[in-house]
Parts: sequence; C-alpha cells; structure tokens
Amino acid sequence: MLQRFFLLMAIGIFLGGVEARAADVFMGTSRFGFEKIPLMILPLQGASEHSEALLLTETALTSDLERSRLFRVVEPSTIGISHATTEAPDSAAMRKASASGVQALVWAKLYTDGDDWVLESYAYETGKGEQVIGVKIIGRRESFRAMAHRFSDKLVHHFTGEKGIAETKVTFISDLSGKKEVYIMDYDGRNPRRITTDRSIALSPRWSFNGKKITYTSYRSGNPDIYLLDLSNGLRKSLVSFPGLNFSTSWSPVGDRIAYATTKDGNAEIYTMDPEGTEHKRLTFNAADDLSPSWSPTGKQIAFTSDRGGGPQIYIMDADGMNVHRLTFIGKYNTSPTWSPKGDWIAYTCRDEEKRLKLCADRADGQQSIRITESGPWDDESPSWALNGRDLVFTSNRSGTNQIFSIHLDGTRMIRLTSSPANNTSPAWSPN
Amino acid sequence: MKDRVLRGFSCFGVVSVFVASLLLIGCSKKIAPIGGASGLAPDRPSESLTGRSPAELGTERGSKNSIGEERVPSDEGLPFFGESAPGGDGAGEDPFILADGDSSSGLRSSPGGDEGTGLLQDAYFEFDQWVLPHDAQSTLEHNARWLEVHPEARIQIEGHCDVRGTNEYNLALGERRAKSAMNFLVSMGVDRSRISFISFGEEKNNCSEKSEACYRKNRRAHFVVLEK
Repeated sequence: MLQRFFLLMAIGIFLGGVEARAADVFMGTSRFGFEKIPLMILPLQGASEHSEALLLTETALTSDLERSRLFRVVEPSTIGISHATTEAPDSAAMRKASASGVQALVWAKLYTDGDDWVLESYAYETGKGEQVIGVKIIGRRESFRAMAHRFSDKLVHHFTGEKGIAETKVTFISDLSGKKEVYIMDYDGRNPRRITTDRSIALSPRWSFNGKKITYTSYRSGNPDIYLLDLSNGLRKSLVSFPGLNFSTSWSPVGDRIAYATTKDGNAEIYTMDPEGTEHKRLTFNAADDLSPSWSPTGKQIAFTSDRGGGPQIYIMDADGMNVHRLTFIGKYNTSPTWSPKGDWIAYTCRDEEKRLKLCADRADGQQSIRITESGPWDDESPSWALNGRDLVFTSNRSGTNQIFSIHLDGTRMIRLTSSPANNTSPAWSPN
Repeated sequence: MKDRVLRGFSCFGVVSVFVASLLLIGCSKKIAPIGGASGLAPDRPSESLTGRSPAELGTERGSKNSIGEERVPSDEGLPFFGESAPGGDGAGEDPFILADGDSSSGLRSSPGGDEGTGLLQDAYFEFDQWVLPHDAQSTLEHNARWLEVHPEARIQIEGHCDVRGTNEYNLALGERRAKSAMNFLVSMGVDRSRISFISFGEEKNNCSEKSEACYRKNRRAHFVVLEK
C-alpha cells in the first residue's frame, strides 16, 4: 500500500485531452499540475425581488465551476471590476480582466418569462474580447440549479473541449424509508428522490449506456433477481430470475449487452444477455466465484472479480470470455472493478493491512497501481466513475453511517454528497 | 436523463437550434451590446417562437447579438416505480432529511426472532471464510437433531456476512456459507429437499457496531423454519 502511495505522489495522474497540453507541468511531483483557467463571474443581474433566486443560481454556478477543477474562480473585486448594471461588460472591463490574467469572463441575468425562468448566459474570452457563449437557458421555478449546471457544462465544454459533469446524476441505494430502495440525485447530492417502492432489499443500481434505464437487483419477489427500470416510461421489467443470486449488472458501452453474475450453476459465473433479458451467454467457467463485471469503454473487454486464485482479485477477459488475465497483485482482497469511461484506469475496492476497505486503481495495462483513499478506521467502497474519467463517487462510513462521497482520482477534493442519518450506499454515476 | 425530458420539447428544440444557427451565421462574435434595457426584448413567451421566422426574431430583439434558447429538464419528470399509482405512496417524495430514529429496523432480522426461535441456532463463520469452524459444526449437529425429530419441517438457510467485505462479493460469500451449512446438514442425514438457501450478503445484519463481537454475530448461517 505504501508503494502505491509513493507512486501516487510521484506522478501526476491527470487524464484526457484537457491535461495533455499541461503535461509538462505535472511531470514533476505536483499533484496539481493542470493550470486552471482563471474565470470571473460578474454579479448575476436580476430584479431585486428575485434576490433569493439570484443568489441560489450564482452559488450553484460558482460551486459547479470550482468543483470542475478546470477553472479558478476570481472575485471581481480583487481586480477592481465593479459591475452593478444590467449592461454587458464593456471593452474596458474586458481589457482590465485580461490584463489581470482572467481568461474567461462570465455574465448572466435571471428573469421570469410567464411561468418560466430564463437564465440569459454569456461568456467572453477576454484575450480576444469576443463573446463565445450566448444562450437563454429556460427552466421552471425549481430548476435554478439545473440552469446553473447547464451553463457550467457549456463553459467547461467551450474552454476545455470536454463534456462537463454538472448535469449528471448519481443513482444509489438508501434505507431512509426503512427498506433499501433505489434513489437518484444530482451530481452534487441535491434533489435526491426515491424511485422504487419494493419494500424489500434493492442492490447495485447501474445506468444503461444512455442513462435512460437502470438495472438493479431486488429481493422483492423473495429471490435476488435482476430488474430493469425504464426511466422514460416508468415501467419495471424482470430480466433475470434464475434460482440463486442474480446480481452485479454492467451495461456494454453501446447498450447491446448487459453483463451480470448468477449462481444458478452452483457458484457465481458471469453471463451476458441482451437488454430484453434474453440470449444469455455464459462467459466464465470456473469453480470459483466470478462476479461484478465492468465493460471497457471499447466494449471489447470486461473487468471482473474472481477468487479463482484464492482471495478475490480483479481479472480482465475479452467480451467473449477468452484471454483471461489477472490485473491486481497487491493485497489479498480486491473487488468491484469499474472501468474508466476514458479506458485508461480501472478503479476498485481494495483492502489495506488494517483490514479496511479503500479505493485503489490500476492502469488497465497493469503498469501502475495507486491507492486513492487514505488509511483510517473506516471503509471506502463501491467506486463509480464520472464521465470525465477523473472523478469517482463511492460509499464511506468514515462519518459513522454509510454515506456517498466523491473524490478525484488523485485522492484530492473529497466531497460528501449525502448527509441523511440513513445509510446511503452503492452509488453509480450516470454516463451522460 | 436530459434527453428524456427534453423529448417533450424536441419540436421547440429543433426550432431553437435552427434559429440559433441562422443567427450565428449572421452575427460575428463581437463584444455583445446586449445591455438589458436596450438589449433583448424581455419576457417574450417562448411558445410564440414557433410562429416566427428567425429574421423576425432578430429584428424584434433589436440586438445584433440574439441568442439561442434551450430548456433544462424538470425533476418532476422522474418516474416512480411503485406498486400503486404515483401519489399513493408519497410517490418519490421522500423527505430526504431526517429519518425517524429506527430507519434501519426493517432491514434487520432479529436474532433468533424468526419461527425457528430457540430451536435452530445460528452457525458462525470466521472472517472471509465459508468453511465451517468446529463450534459451528456442533451447532449444526444440534440443528440436525431438531430436524430429525421434526421430519415435517422444511427450512431455509440464510447466509450472512459482516460489513467488512464489499456488497457484491459478500452476496457470493453469504451463499457459500449457506451452502456449507446445508451440505453439512445433508451429510448428517437431513433430506436435501427439505432445505432451501438464500444469501443476504451484508444486507440484513443483526447489528451495525464496528466491533469484532458485532462482526461475528453477522457472519452467520441463519435457519428459518418455513411455514407449511
């Protein structure tokens, strides 16, 4: 584990196209190699009777941009720009911002339009003095945060070329109602809603490739079976109900197959099926337990947990079950792999010397292994990637009960997303 | 998610995109003279958009920098998979704030509180293991004798785990524990057809303290006499 930690310290592990141009910076020991884009949000404009809505929206936008880790939000007062009018920033303000190193200037106004609210959103590249975003984001009264999320994702996309995660959702299990049911919340932990009422035990919800469906395991009929929830029409469908355990689903990246595990053959084996719950195909043939499959983003490989070597470890096989090889070699207990949507890392739950569960990640090619969460008398488990391949949600009982947190792959910026006294577990981050 | 809710506005969306793209073609990226009062026409109902040409919109706004529109989804569109019609069950409106004290009570099986009370005893396992330790074998011998004098009884063996594993692996481990117990009973002469098994992994624990005493209580095969 110590090795992992030093590896982590010694390398920058920022990923993807955004960081490519900052690659030179993080070849050193810095974990914060990526230079954030200095961005200034001018005070949101709107009628005085809307002050609460304005504050809510501006706070959400600022929080989104800071959480993206791609921007450094600069206070307008720090460079002497005052902006108390409903006018767009003038060229003088633009020059001033540019001279102070601010690359992006953001400005918006919020007003009502009948029953709708409109967040008229603009962004400027100060260097060029050009407007680069201009859009009316429309929503209902309760949608201020959603409108801010949309604006944030547009800013992320324009200035980095990457998809933002502010509009994504997290599905998870909570026992708030007294039973374990499936919930969905916003990526920042807001707007949690229960979507099932099985009054039984619900487990391991997983998004379909397009975020329109969720598969999960429920004991609602007595046996742990796999069900499909279609979010577009509110219909539930039973997909797998073999005798024994039917659990741990994973959707292929194009949605044509669902991998899962079942113990119908006497021990846990991995199968795939089509989304209708037919055409079951067995992939593993082993007296040990094989479970928790996770597709690679290319759809060509599947990572999974197997205890064929004694204790549970992470293995990788081709999508047809061939070419099985072991990925993890550090520690005696490595489970619940989840393949990054960028393809390069596989995060999983590892167990440290104190027998505590922690988050770890290995490069998919096995060339590097890192520990993500720190040591301590608590358990971290069930990692799931955001679409950016950098942020993860996971369950931790570090605060007593099980709660859902998010963390950056490099182990920084941990944020607690849920805070009810109930147990909130098994998060899965939506793919869009 | 957003696609789903946006579908309802797809017609609107298509028009918006069309409008936006036309306007973008016609207006270069300049510092926006989009001042509030002098800029955009305020509070124009969006429904009327469909009835106007892009050109009209541009002139009406009186701005060289008219902009596109898009709508964010409302969470009210999130479905609820209930037994009853939405509304009957508080449809997805759980107050996600304070649970009322014993929120987890429904998830715990009371120790020995099922029909098997005092008759069939739990067999306990070692950490990470599904092999029966000696004391568990003694327990199972006791249970086998009870089954011998109650030949009509059918039982279900529940496999459970402590929380120190991961949920999915613990499901598999719980099933192995239940099967270990079942195989031992069968080896003692109990008819296999009288026994069924199910794993609850770490999902239905007796206690939740972080102590070895509690962990041990949860690493168990639990026996439930099924109703005839």
